[in-house]
Amino acid sequence: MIYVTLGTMFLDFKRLVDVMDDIARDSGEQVIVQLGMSPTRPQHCAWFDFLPREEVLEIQRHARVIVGHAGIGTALDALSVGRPFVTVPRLKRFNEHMNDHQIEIAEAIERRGWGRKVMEMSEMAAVCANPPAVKADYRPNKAPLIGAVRAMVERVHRDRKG
Amino acid sequence: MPEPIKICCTCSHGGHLNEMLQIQEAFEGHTVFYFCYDADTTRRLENRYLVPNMAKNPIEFLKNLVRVTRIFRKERPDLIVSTGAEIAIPVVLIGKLFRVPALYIECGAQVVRPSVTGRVMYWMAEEFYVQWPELLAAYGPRARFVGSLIDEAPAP
Repeated sequence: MIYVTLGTMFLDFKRLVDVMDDIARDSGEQVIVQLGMSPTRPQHCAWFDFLPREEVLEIQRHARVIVGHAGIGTALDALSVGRPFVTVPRLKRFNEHMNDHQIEIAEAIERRGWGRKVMEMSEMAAVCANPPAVKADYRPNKAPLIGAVRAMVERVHRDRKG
Repeated sequence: MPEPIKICCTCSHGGHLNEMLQIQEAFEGHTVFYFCYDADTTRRLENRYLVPNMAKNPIEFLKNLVRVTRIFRKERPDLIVSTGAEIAIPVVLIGKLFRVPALYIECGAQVVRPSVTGRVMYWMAEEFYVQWPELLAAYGPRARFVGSLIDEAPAP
């Protein structure tokens, strides 16, 4: 099963929906698409708009490949389940986003060996057939960040009124 | 110890909200309320104030100044925490009037280039963190890299 996620962005992502629909039709593999607010609906894929986060993560754990827009929430969730991850940046020139910052995210993910960036939809079928390796020891450095936030909370707590 | 503090968490939905939920463990033992845009995902939050997502509309910005003032009068928060984006600007501005310090964490979506909100928050927030070491160079000495929800790079 291929899981496709378009995030919460309010703009259409027709390029990705259409190519994944073709892959579902041609390969016969199940493709599940989280569409969110993207108006383009696929014909050959199962789809939903939004589900509770825990249910979405459960679908992702069972995916052979995760294909996502290169949003940061999508990346955080996809990397946390440790499945092969393919990103497609939403681009301003197709009116898929307000700017092109998703290219930077997709490049950073590729640079660090966490997944594969796809810019040309014509490559997608081959990439899904032969997905990138999972970085098995991926471990974001969360604890110091959460610790720094906690330290500020405690400082404010201590300084409060007395 | 003093009473638990009240924390105003403000963020957009999507990745910003995902990040905000991941740092909630830092707030344990304290009270949290949210100021967010109205979206399917933010409606699932408890203790939330939801406003229309029309950030670039100056009328909505002014309305948010009024809304936040009312909310702060009622809630009296001790700390503002934001993971972006521009929804933080009216909150931190009103926070200045109420003398509420702010912590701004630049969203992991900003890898090498600052966000517009980040450029403003760099000067307004008491603490300012980025989540990719690549981004430090684009800001000044007030910015800190103290770890990341996405990157594996060690905090110095």
